[in-house]
Amino acid sequence: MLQAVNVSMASLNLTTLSPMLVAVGGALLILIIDLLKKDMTKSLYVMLSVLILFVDFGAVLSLSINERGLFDLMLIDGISIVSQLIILLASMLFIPLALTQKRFHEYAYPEYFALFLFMVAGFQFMVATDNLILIFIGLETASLALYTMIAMHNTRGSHEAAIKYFTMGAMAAGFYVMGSAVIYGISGTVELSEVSKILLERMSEAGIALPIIGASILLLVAIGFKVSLMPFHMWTPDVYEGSSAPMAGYMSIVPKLAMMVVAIRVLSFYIDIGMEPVRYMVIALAVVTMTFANIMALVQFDVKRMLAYSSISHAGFVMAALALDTTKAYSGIFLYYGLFLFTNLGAFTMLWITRHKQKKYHSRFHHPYEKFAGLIHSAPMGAVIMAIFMLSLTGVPPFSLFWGKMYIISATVDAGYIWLAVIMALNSAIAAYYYLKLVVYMFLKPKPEGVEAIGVNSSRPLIVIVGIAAAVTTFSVFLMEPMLSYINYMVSVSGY
Amino acid sequence: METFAFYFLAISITILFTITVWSKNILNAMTALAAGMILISGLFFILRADFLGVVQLIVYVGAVMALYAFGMMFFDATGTVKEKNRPNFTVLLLGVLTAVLLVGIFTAPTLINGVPSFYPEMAGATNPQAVGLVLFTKYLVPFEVAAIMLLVAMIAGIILAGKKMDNSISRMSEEELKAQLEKDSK
Repeated sequence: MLQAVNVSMASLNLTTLSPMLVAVGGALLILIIDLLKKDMTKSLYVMLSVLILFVDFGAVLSLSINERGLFDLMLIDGISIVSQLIILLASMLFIPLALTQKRFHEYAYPEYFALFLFMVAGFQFMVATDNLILIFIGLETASLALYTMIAMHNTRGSHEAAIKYFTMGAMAAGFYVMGSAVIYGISGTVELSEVSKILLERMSEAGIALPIIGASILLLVAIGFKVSLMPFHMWTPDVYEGSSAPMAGYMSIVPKLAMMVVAIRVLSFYIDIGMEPVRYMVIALAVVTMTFANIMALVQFDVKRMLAYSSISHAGFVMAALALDTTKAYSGIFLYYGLFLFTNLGAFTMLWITRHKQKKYHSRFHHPYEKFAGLIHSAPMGAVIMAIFMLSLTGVPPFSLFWGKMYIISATVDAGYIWLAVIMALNSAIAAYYYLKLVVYMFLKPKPEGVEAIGVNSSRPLIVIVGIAAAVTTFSVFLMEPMLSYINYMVSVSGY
Repeated sequence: METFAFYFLAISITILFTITVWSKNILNAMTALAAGMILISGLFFILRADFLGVVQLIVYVGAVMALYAFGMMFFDATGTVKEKNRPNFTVLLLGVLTAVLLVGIFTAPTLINGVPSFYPEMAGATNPQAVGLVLFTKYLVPFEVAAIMLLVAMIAGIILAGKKMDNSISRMSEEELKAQLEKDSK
């Protein structure tokens, strides 16, 4: 007969689960409100979502560092707290973009906001564990919600985007599972901390390197898909083009950051057990991604597609920092995404403000460069603010991304990869061309004849969000010190 | 005896799945797929993973194949499918290379031996009991999150197949939208 299992409540450490429970509970609350009373206004759900995310934010802040809970499955270390904070901040800033002038299909559903909160919970589970199974389930929960929210925009392009993302994502999920299976096959467990303990003892055995490298290839494909590294990036521009601007902006930050945390856990485990070839693979992927994505971005006609390629190239930039395996580089990743968040939030919100329901300027694209020609004459404020975001993406001081780029490049030099730092700097120079192209269109080109007002979708909440983004982007120099010391402390305390 | 059963099952599964891929008749392909799925559960039973064997039968043969069968009812499943596959050397090369690589990576763990088992067989516990013990202690959280995932999938399915998706608000102009709202309120 089996003996009854006794588990004490204290050993479970249930508080480690509290942030995700807030998000899931909030999502269920939204579903229940919709059941009880139909036809509540959209702003109620937006405000409710922001409130829930705010409580979630507080729950994350109240977690104590380096704790495990729920049978050692949840792992609350520094990087999981920092990444959850960035994810929640991004979600709080992106969800009010639903309050637009015009009505769009997805915001007619209360379920949209429930799915959004489920997605946030999924990402939180992903970053707050080192168990490959829980990472997978969190990833799939978040991805399923994301695919649906893209399709809910309900245009031809968004259906295409959702199907494309779904099929490619299913394939990447397959690779992730196969990689985890190989890891399980050589170590008998899927917890990365246990895996590295077991493999460290056995590294001298003949023939063990082959399956370890094999697993790394499979996992790198899955990671490369989600953070959109070069050979696995095919879906990115099409999906960004098809989905609504807030969704595209969100996709350029949050899913990538969540997968980046998984990549930190997986790759630092590989570097810990002395698998140098994996480091070279990551550096090669990063260099290819940076360079080719920049070249592809040069020939785009649509600003949103250009921003998609730019986000691919930024992902390559951050991936290079990942391969360095120093505390400074890991802090750089979070700093970079923290700053990138505000810049991209602003850029995509500007696109969202100028969104017409019909495609007036081009047969295929919503936001071709021509649309912004002469914007300085019709909307001087909008043109200046858009220019700030473009200059920040280029990496012009004192705007936010300059500091992120500088920090990562200096980490690269410190780690002894001078040639990599040179490539990164060169790529930033190439990127200046396509960002400044938009600035040239806005400031120097004449305004086309017979065009009506461009900011048709603008509303008070959207302007506030743009204001926040512009303020943080411009005055980021004052934020650098506190942000860096906090991130540095959090990263070093979790042992990276 | 086990060796014989393994090779018998392995060869049959390979043959059946080859039929699935090569057959031009949907009905034949689906029947072969279902038969292959049933035989895979045999592999689990050989490994004394009774629980997984039954899950394989219920989920893949019962649910997934039934879903396929329902899907096929919307099409004419009796005829042969005309495939437009032109011979393409690049695709062939890449496909074969990928397949070889995957097989290589998957057989690589057999190079080492003596992998420790974190959850060894318990004395006096049947296989489903042992699975249950691990599933509801150590893996309780993934189990519950999987439930959330299914909820998300259900909401997604209901929304995307729902009637409200027929008219796209994202494309309607203000006038059309007003007319639509008045029609709905009546």
